[in-house]
Amino acid sequence: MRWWQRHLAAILVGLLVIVMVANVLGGSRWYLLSELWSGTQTLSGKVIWDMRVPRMLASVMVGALLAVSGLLLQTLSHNPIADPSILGINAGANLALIVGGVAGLSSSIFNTVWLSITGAFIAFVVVMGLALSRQGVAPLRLILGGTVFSGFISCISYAISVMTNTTEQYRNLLVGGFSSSTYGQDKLLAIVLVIVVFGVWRFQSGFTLLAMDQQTTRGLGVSTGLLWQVAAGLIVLATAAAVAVGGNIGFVGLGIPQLMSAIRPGSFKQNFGVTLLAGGVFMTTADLIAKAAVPSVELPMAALSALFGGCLLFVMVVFGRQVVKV
Amino acid sequence: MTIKYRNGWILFLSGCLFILAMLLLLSVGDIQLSFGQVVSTLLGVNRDYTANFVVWQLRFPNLIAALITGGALAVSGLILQVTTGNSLADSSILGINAGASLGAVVLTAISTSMKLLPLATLIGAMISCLLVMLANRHDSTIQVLLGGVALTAVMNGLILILEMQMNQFSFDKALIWLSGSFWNLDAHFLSINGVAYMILLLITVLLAPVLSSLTLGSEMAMGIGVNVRVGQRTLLLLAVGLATVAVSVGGAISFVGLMAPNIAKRLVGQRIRVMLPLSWLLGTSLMMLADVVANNAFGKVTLPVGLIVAVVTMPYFILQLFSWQKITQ
Repeated sequence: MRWWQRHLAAILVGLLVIVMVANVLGGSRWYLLSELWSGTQTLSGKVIWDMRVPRMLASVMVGALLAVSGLLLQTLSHNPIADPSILGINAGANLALIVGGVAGLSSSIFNTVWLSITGAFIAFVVVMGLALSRQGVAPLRLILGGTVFSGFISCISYAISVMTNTTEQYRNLLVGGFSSSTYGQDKLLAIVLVIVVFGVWRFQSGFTLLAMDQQTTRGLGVSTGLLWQVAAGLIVLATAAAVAVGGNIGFVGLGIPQLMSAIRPGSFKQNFGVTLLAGGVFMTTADLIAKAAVPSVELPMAALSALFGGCLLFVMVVFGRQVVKV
Repeated sequence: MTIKYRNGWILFLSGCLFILAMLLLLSVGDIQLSFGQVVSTLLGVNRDYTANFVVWQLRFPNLIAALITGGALAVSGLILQVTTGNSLADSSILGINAGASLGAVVLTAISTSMKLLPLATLIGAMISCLLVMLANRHDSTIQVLLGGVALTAVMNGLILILEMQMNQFSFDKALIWLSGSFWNLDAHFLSINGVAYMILLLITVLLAPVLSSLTLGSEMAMGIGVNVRVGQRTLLLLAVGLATVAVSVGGAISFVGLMAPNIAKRLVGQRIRVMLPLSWLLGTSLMMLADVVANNAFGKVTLPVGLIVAVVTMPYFILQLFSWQKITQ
């Protein structure tokens, strides 16, 4: 093991601190490091503490949640190409949010959360139902069916928003991003993050064993049914919270766990922590790029993540011989 | 009932469907016309000003656009399915549509004139076709489809970024290239694309024997003296060309090329001579009916036609995937 593999977690923590600070300082206008301590009275202090810090916190936590839900999904489906967005879970949460908006529910934090959880859950059940066959989850069906299902749901969302003249909302969800994050949303994300981390920690040995083939898992006396339910619950919760705050950001759950296992191959238990950290690092960096790369224009976050993740997926499909087992 | 007789009936019935869809498209709308009025207007015997105006000026461009997009996508899907030997292939899942869309968006980003649109869409489609064929080198059906899915995600991301850069406020324009709609019904524009479309269709008909031999599998085709390599490449180019024309007119419309040939195949089997016209009829009928629904079913609101198509074709794809997997297992 190389030194950087051994100290991967420490390196990631360091990186996370750096990008967090950079994210707060950067944007359409860059601030000096010293302005962080200028207090909340001045204008720059207000901008930093009321707008940039909540935004940074949201991006860190959304990244971490998406990466973890991707890791869980990949472990659960025995399939390296799995991601909440590929499987339509993001789109399901989106649709529920749009329907809720049309039905006249106020966009309070509580409403957005339960709506997106319901949507994500329904989508998850449908996709898994489509993918299930007598031999367990068929990876091909899971991915292809999920992608197309996701497109189908997006179309319905768009149709609804055109009919009800609320394309603005659809646009915000589709484009994604953290430009309007608040401390309230941060609190929600923090609660979900704590639940997810606790859940994973509580069942980590089980999930690690779940990664083996089904017969071995059963033979070792693991109750797969319970683990499945817990994992599914955590995936839905994490994804729904992420979508409710950040909009339709895909492919983080695909890329980050893959990247981590490429850098340091290991079991679920070993890779969980670093995946969490790396998700945060990635999302915060992406958010910085989105708001600072082109002056006065906010790049669409969903598109950035699709660019990154799509390229990665393409490379995996083309060059990875063992990627897809039918 | 002999097969020939049966196929004749099926062709006849889908021809009826085609005509019905056409009459519906021309007659239904804010100003209702009867089928009789439409027919007499088309024949040029109706002197009524309103009827003439509505049919020729308002609805005829839509008809042409539907004929171009539906037909081109269906035929290109058929060619792709035969040449790649993959019954789930289609220009939209292979990322060719997204590539063509990206070409169009890049063009609008760098120049104000749309004269080079066909060239730009063609280049985009070619690039994505080449990339997808890169994924084909392991000769695995799944890898090609997944490669296409990944490619589509990347291209759609780029489209979104470019469109948002150009006009922050007209998000709808970006959606033309993401989900499809008849965005330009100008007569000149349609006629240029229509001519290209007719030429490509003619070439397809001329190459039908090659296509037909490829349905036997490449080894058989080689055995009966077909130059498989050249044939496949030419046909692939043809499919890309057709998809390009369709995208230029209607944006990235999804899965028509999957649905029409697959239904045709289920009805008449792998007989290119029947399947080709049948796919064309089904594809165009689907497009025309979708246009009727998009324009009329939702009161005052007009939906982009691509949305209606997607809502029908995407579940069909999932269904197809479902049964296809069962056969291979």
